[in-house]
Amino acid sequence: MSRERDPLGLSHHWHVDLRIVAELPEDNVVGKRFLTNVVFSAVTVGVMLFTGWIGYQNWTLRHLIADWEKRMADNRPEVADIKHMQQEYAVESAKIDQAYALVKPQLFVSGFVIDLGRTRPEQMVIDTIDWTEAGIMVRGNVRENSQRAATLLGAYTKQLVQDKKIGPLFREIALTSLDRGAGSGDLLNFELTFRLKAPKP
Amino acid sequence: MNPLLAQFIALIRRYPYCAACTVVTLLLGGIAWFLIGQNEDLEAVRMDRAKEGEAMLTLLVGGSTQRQELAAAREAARRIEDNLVIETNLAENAFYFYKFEEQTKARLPELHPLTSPASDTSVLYRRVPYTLRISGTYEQVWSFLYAIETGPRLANITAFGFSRRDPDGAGITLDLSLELLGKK
Repeated sequence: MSRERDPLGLSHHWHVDLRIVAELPEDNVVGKRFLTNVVFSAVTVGVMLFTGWIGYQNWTLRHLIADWEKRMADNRPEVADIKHMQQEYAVESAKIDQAYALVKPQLFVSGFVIDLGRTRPEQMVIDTIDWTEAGIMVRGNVRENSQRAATLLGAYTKQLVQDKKIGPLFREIALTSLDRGAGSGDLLNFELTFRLKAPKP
Repeated sequence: MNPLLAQFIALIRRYPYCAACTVVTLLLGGIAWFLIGQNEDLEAVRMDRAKEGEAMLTLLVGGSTQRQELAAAREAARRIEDNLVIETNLAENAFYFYKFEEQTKARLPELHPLTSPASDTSVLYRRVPYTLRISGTYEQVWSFLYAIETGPRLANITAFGFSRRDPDGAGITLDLSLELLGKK
């Protein structure tokens, strides 16, 4: 049997494989070392950017604080002046408040008298206006028959309650008396009572 | 040498670039951690300064208004002080009412000073009460009343009584109780 035909025979180029595989350079298209370096570089760059951003924020905050402090320092004399002015204002207004607390008018009497004259019906005559603890009593007479006098005074009372100047001053405006008195004929005496609102504290 | 340390040094020698990156990352991470802590403190300081600054700006904006208000308050307080009644100065106090009598042509037949109430707690002022009787025409009496209410001395009317002197005449009598603001 010839040597060439022997299937188990060694080829002419046969030799012992002496390579140390662990020490051979990589022959991959993208090396493991390259990939490792890329990952480490990416992480490092990311941390650099993050630290830079935090550093920028730190700088901005310091700048803003310095800016506010400068503005406050620049305006300090004016602020001190205004605060001094406020103290002075408190003292002056306390004086006014004390005066007002002592002589605060409950009613502007001359205005009230004028308003009564303005709203008074022609048939009505006012004889007295008295201010006592019970309220303001307006007494007078109406030269009308009793029915028309009652209607007139009822309407006048309503008019006073609804009047924009008189109404808000009083908690009650009422016709408290209507009589013929000692006289005769078409003369009826009346009494209107105005009760002031409680003074505000 | 510790085998673990030797292994670690070998690893560094094998991957020097990665080792350098790790060192830089750790260093930057430490700086970032420190800065984050500092930024929290700085943010709190900034908010405080901003609040103080905004309050200051508001104060400055209102400065001119406050200046005007102070001037008005000073003027009002000065007018009150200048027109305070001195209880013992009877002649001058009476002259105040008689001056109105002359101006309004009303008649002042009665003028009685009363004793100040002891209940006033104010350290600056006291109330000086008076009772008056005024007579005249409706216009004259009303003018006198208006002059008292709007005059320079602060007055509070505590009671009044208007009455016609005779049913058909134009004469009116006004009985008035009032308090003037006086010096303590």
